[in-house]
Amino acid sequence: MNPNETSAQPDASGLDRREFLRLSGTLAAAGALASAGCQPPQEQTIPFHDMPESLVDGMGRARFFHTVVDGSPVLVRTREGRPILVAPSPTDASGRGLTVRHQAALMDLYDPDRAKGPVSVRRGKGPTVASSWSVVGAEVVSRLAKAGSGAVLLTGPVASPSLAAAIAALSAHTGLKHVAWSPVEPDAAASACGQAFGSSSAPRPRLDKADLVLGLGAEFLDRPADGLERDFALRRSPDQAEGTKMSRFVQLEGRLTLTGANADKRIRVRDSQLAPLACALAHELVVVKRTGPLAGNAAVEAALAPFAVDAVAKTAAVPAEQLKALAGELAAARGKALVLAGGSASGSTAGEALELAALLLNVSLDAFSAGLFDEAAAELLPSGSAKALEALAGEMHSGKVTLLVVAGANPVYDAPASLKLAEALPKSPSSSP
Amino acid sequence: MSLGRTPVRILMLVLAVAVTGSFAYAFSNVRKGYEPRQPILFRHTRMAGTPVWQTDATGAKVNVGGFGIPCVYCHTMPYKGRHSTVPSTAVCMNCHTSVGLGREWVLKMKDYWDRGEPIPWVKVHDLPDFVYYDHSAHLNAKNEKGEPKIPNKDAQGKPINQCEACHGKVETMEIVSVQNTFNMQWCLDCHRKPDMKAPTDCIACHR
Ligand code: HEC
Ligand code: HEC
Ligand code: HEC
Ligand code: HEC
Ligand code: HEC
Repeated sequence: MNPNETSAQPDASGLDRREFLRLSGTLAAAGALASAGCQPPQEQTIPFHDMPESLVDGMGRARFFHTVVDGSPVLVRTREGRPILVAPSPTDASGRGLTVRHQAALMDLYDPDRAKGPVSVRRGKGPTVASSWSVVGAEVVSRLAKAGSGAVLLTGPVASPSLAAAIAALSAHTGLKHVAWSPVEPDAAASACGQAFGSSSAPRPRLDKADLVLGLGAEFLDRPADGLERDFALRRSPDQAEGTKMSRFVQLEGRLTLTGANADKRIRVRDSQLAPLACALAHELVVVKRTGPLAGNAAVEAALAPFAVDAVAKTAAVPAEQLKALAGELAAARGKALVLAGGSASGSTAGEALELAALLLNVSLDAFSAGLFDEAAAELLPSGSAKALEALAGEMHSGKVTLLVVAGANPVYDAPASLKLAEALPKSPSSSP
Repeated sequence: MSLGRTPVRILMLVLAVAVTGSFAYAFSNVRKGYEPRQPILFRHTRMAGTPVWQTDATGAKVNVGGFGIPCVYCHTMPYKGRHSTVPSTAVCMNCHTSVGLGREWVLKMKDYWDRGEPIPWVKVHDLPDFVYYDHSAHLNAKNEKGEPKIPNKDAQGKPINQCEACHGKVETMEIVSVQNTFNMQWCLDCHRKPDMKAPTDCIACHR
């Protein structure tokens, strides 16, 4: 044996003293870690402060409470004090059902970053500190009293009538001005409804009643709301009850959307060409095929005159035969066909024209009179908040706003950058619960 | 390496593992004896213990022991639900609006009550979340003779507290501590007793 190599070599016993000690040392350390370092975490039992009569924890009974999420009445199921499911409220007459957004609202309650109570942030005065409602409330009231008529309350969309009433009462009392801001609003649809029916309240399309659905950039599957996607799905299963058949869905759109991807036929057109194309279809239906209550109406025919299919098809680069065939399909399904606009096309500058053309098509296809729109579930479309926020930003820049109270909105994050709200904020004393 | 050495080597390894393993095992139970401090020094000896009457200097009889309050006065659910539950402060206030008002810890408890805050008791018995345990299934289980499977009287027929089988004599504890290992082996040791006829399949406890 080389005299320089000593302990690293195993001796006669096969495992030398050092190796044995090293091994047992490691194992002992691991054992100690496992027993001492891995104490189960200390937990607490928080009983009720005053337990309600007849409550039995863990007896398999759930408790429910009603609330409103995203403007829809919901029923929340709780087990042992923890909410576990958001379900549609059985008393909700609209029958809209719930969307993924409602279901996911549950997650907010478990978000570790959620606000657990009021906190106080003083601009430039260090980190946030926890506060209490009595302190915040008193401060907001005293500031409101001082601010006078220059005070503005900026909120998210107000869907609840009781909240709206409370805000109205507050305004009447203090002269507070209320601005509701929502980054996404069906402005075009609201104004089209206003022009066509004299009220921006839109009846709810019943996709479960339509045999043929024509989408003009519609995105009801991309942004599920109002349960349209559920109605749609009811008629898309190949197994239909006796007497109904699977519905057909044709979509005209620019960008590929999830909705378009689910169409039976998808025709690519530019968003900017959607409005003229819709008018061309209307021309074909009303003027050429003389379908619907508007056939023979001179004013309508005059208005549609520039939109003959052949001319529009050329600029829009869509085969004219395809459009004519589509118009034929629509005419054949009259009373059972429904046209839906929406999505980014409706948000563009030609959005209003597109929504109006869709209404015209629906009228010509008797969709309203045949009950494909549910008037009972009509909803007032929120609109106009972009203009209101723009006006508010202007006032803030010129220093006219003496107090800005922000509740449930985050305009610096979601308002158009051109309003420069972040720069305007320091010019008006603000407080945001 | 010669063949003759290999078995020796393995033997030594096994020995090393056995020595350290048994040490680790001896120290590894993290539950038995666990005795956390509580936010209020609540003594089961005083509330649930047996009374001890003494005559004080003035000749009046005073109870220096416990008040013998039944467990289910406070732990209301063991026969009805999965949890025994720890009482809400309202239960304490049934009595403590009029008694013990001079005592330090009673006053501290009243502070919680007045602030409307529940008392954050530290959990003493705490099985992992992947284990299902149900008090009512245990305490209500009866054998063919209609007697409770968890004994409610001892060999001489003297009544004993059913809770004792698992929690020991809580009424003699100043501070509640864990009396058994509360690990899987302990559960199964009892479940396997012939007179218990309790489930031993995994799905019973791990659902
Ligand atoms: C006056 C009310 C009261 C009575 C009576 C009472 N307890 Fe308690 N018990 C409590 C409170 C409060 C706690 C929580 C604080 C603590 O752990 O000490 C508790 C804790 C316990 C715990 C530990 C709970 C845990 O966190 O794991 C056990 C076990 C227990 N009690 C068993 C009993 C038994 C058995 C009896 C009857 C002999 C009994 N208790 C009588 C109030 C009471
Ligand atoms: C078969 C064994 C067993 C018996 C009998 C038993 N317990 Fe328990 N007890 C447990 C176990 C196990 C836990 C831990 C439960 C957990 O962590 O989920 C526990 C927990 C508790 C707790 C803590 C809170 C809770 O409910 O989780 C209290 C209080 C309690 N027991 C009181 C009682 C009382 C009072 C009795 C008698 C009426 C009783 N126990 C009988 C096994 C038992
Ligand atoms: C049935 C009546 C009753 C209930 C319920 C009750 N207590 Fe008591 N408690 C008493 C009496 C009686 C005394 C003795 C008063 C004295 O010694 O001055 C006492 C004494 C105390 C003391 C001081 C004595 C000591 O242990 O050193 C504390 C602390 C206490 N109780 C806490 C509680 C808590 C916490 C609860 C609720 C979980 C509770 N009690 C529920 C009757 C009750
Ligand atoms: C003192 C004996 C004893 C101990 C300790 C014990 N059990 Fe049990 N267990 C029983 C008996 C008795 C039954 C009821 C058998 C029957 O249904 O008649 C039972 C039943 C059960 C059941 C079935 C309940 C049901 O809903 O059907 C579960 C689960 C269970 N025990 C879990 C546990 C767990 C977990 C532990 C350890 C923390 C434990 N037990 C410790 C005696 C015991
Ligand atoms: C009577 C109830 C009961 C039954 C039956 C049971 N277990 Fe367990 N099991 C437990 C308890 C209690 C623990 C928690 C042990 C601890 O944390 O110390 C546990 C823990 C475990 C763990 C985690 C290991 C650990 O120590 O953390 C595994 C794995 C496991 N059990 C597997 C099984 C399998 C496989 C079966 C079926 C053969 C089974 N169990 C049957 C009560 C039971």
